[in-house]
Amino acid sequence: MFDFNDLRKKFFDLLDGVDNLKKLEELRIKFFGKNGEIKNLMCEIKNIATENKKEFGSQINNLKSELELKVSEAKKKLHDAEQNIRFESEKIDISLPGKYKKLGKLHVLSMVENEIINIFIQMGFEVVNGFNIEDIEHNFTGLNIDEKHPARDEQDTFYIDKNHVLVTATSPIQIRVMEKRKPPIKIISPGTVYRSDEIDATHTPMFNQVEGLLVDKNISMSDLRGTLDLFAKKLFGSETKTRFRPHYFPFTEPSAEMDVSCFVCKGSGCKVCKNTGFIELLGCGMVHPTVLKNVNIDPDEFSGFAFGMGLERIAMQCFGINDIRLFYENDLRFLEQF
Amino acid sequence: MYVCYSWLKKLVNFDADVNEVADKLTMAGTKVETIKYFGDKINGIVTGKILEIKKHPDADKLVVMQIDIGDKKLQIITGAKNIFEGAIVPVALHNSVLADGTKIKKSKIRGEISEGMLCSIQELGYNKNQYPEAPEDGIYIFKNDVELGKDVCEILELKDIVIDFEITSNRSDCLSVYGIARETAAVFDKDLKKLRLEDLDIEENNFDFEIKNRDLCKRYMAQEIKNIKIEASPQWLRHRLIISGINPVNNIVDVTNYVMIETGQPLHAFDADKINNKRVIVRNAFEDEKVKTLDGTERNLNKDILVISDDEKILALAGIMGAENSKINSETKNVLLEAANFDAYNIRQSAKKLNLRTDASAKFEKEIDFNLAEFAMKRALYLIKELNIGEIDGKTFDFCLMEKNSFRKINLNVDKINNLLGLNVLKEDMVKILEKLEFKIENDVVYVPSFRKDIEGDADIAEEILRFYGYEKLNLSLPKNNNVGGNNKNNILDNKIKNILVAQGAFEIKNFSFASYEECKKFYLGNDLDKKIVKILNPLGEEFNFMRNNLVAGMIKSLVFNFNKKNQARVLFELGKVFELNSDSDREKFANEKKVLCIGFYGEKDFFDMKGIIENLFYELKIFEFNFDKSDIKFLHKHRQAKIFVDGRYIGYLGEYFDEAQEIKSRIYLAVLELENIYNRAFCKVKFKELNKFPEIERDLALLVNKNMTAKEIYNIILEFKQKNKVGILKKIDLFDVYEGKNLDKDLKSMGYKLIFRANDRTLKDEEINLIMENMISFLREKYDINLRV
Repeated sequence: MFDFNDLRKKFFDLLDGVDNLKKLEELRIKFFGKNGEIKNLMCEIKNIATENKKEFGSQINNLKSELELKVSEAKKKLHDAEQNIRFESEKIDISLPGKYKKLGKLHVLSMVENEIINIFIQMGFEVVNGFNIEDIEHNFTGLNIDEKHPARDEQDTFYIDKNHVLVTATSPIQIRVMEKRKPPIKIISPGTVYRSDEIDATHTPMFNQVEGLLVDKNISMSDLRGTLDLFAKKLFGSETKTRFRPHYFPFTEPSAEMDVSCFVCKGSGCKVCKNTGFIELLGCGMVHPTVLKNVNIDPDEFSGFAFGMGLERIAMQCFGINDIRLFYENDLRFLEQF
Repeated sequence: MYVCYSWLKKLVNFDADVNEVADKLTMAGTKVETIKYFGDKINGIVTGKILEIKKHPDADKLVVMQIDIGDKKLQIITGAKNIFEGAIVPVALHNSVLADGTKIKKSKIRGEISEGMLCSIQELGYNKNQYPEAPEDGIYIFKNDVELGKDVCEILELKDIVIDFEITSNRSDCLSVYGIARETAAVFDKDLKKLRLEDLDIEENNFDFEIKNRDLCKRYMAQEIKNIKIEASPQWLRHRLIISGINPVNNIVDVTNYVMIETGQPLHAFDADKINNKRVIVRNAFEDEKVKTLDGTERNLNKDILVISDDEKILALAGIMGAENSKINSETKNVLLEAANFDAYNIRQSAKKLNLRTDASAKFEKEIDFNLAEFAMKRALYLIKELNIGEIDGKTFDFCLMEKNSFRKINLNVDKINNLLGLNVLKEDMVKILEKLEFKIENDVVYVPSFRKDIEGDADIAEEILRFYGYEKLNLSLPKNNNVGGNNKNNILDNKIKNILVAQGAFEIKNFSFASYEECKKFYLGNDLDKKIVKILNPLGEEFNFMRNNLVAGMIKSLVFNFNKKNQARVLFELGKVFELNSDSDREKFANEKKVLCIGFYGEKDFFDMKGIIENLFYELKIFEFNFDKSDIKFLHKHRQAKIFVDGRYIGYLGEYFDEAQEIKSRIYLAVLELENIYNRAFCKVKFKELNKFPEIERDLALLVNKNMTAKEIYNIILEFKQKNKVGILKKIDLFDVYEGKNLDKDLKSMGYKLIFRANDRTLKDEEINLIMENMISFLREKYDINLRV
């Protein structure tokens, strides 16, 4: 057997004194380099008896592997230590504020409008935009609001001249679309509408609506309920419950108002829903046969439904906004919140 | 519409509490707004007789009373002035509760025991208008015949509930207790109690009636009542009026109000002796004719207003209010009772013109059934007889233009109704519902009663059925139709623009579409303002007189608002419509509505921040053919403004706002883009360019140029060199620095450019670029006398 203990001891003594990567490299060259100790030892093989040559070789290789492993372990340790010194010197206070370029924001009414419209687009509705100034045929007559109806009074409607008004709903565009196209018609119309209300915490003379219309063969009130129920679940979450209540509009019959279960208390009763568990969301109904006749659609062949909702109301309820005037004051402290 | 709950219960014998009634009626279309309780807190207040009043030994203003409350006697201290020995008064006992919730306890007042308190009408929750016999100030005193120790709530009927219903405009029949009771009966499937009526004897009578305007008065009934004894109405009738929100006056006036609430038909009572020559004329007022109405106000009329007159004076504004001259008072002996049907539209317009909306006009406005006049007259006469108010003298006058007891007929189309609803309601259930609502059905024909003017066809019948079958039974089906939805190109571009601006830190604002004339004038860049401005005939105020023709006024207002609130300066933008009348001679469209984008900010940012926002917007919209040019807009800084062109077309401007009277100490920058001209960019196609395989070479070039030269001029000079020498590999000329001042000649400025060279087919060599740069420098020096900054 061969005794390499001196060499091994020499190696470990030297390794003990190594405290940086440079010294370690010197050590590596001393032992594993071209004229290193291991190499020199290998040269000894020629002096070994033939029958022992194999054994000698294999023992050197074992020694070589062992020492090489030590070197690479030491290397990793020294490397980590040096890296750690760098890390320590580059320590930062992570609690300092982040740097960023502030984004702007859409107006909250635009956000709500987009959300609503996107749901109806997914349900196959096509977006059409109407006018702000309309003739009374499209704003009233076509919608079965006769000449003596109070909605036509100057107290409620802004007039430009005796035949033109600021639209009181976005429905005039529904009449225009029905005049131009044959069913099936499936449209959604967002828009600005006007009513002659003095400004206070719950009224503005201008506000925003989204209205929808579907006219086709065999459209029923149950289809209306199913469509709006799905809409409410998409908008407020899948646990939302809806409720139809009878109501009256000149342009639909039967008509309804749809309530949704209060999204604050989930229906158990709170301040927002005035303890009823429900919040009034929108008005809707089956398109009045007279409205269909007005645009030359045969009510015996086709039927349809229509619905409409006010964006400010929905936004106020969703976000708990208590004053409608905030939407039009453009105070950044308000705009930034949504 | 207020309905007294105890009254409703008398008409329909339902078995439910008030909340259930409210819920069920709401779900059947008669929506309950509020439920208000009367006297719900009152407890332990009884009648007591004052036996003895003695001075309080230790207080000048107090007295010590001995009070008999039937089963025992109490001692109570009071400071009230209107009491006397023998008076019967409401006594709040120890541990009792007043109307407002105050608890009364036995106590010692200045050494004397007080075992309760005497109550005024206010402490019982009402006022003197509701209980006219109560003193102005002091303890309520009962009539002598009241039993002692009785609960005051029962005697004075203090406890009740009023339900406030929201009645939709198509249901004038529900503007009455009886109408609500009819709905209630249908909801609970109970019988509606029949009202007791007096038979009429319709013929000529002592008065001479003339209906001059038969368009506005379709029915006029009148009956004389003689030898009236004016006094207070019985307690039950007064109670129902009070709870319904009407103050009792006297028996005859109370009966007219009572019947109006009960049936929905307004009645009017004239003092018959004040009617000259027993002539009653229904006519239009004369222009400027005057009348003093019974509220004491002098009113000036016009010829559109319908009046009731005799042959010399106006007796009443038809359907609105009586005149003072024929008002019922304590001296009235004979009364002429009117039940008429006036035109709804005319009454609404007249009430509005006179600014006088009464309970009567509010009902007439809603188009009352002409048969109701007869029903109400019969009911009023029954009550007058029953309450012994006066003698019904002679015959009833009845002018009626309509065919009495006629019905509208609608076929009952069961399948069509079920298809419309998406339900399968049985025919027998349909019939049952309709019959409850007093429709008659014979041989599949529905006979609609005259009080249901709103029922005109299948859809209306369907709604009646659904209301009582239950809206909650509608299915949740989806339409079997497979349209593909989508947004339109204008909205898509609007959204794109908004998102690009938001990404650049801008906040969207919204302003009203209204503007003042000054705002329209100041920021309008077109011609013929007065021909094109859109004026509102009935605006809310001067600020809102016109439809806006620009977004700038609103933008400046919003910027100033935020500045004054000391909010952090941010970029704002509005994307909205501006309005102009279409002044073309063959105007197909009345008005033009154009979409405009307006951007604004104040604070640290300057002209080039605004220009950058716009350039960035254009790049993101894939608009590359744009340029900025000189501009001379009055409200902008003379040398800090530019017009913006896309594809050579004007689309807007930007600049620094200039106003000598500017409200805020910060510069404001504005930009306006008319979007109509770029909507065709909504779906621009993008073509992929292959990535470069060969590296770019950069060279900096610092030039000394005359201060008056613009960046655009220098850019064009470099471009000229490029084209002349066919330097296709010069790909980009980026200005990165402009400097003037120290170390430079005062007429010169330094412009630093970064030039980028790139070939698509090879790696460029330095020597090649050096040569180009040398050539460029000598070109600049020789042709334009521009030198390098060294």
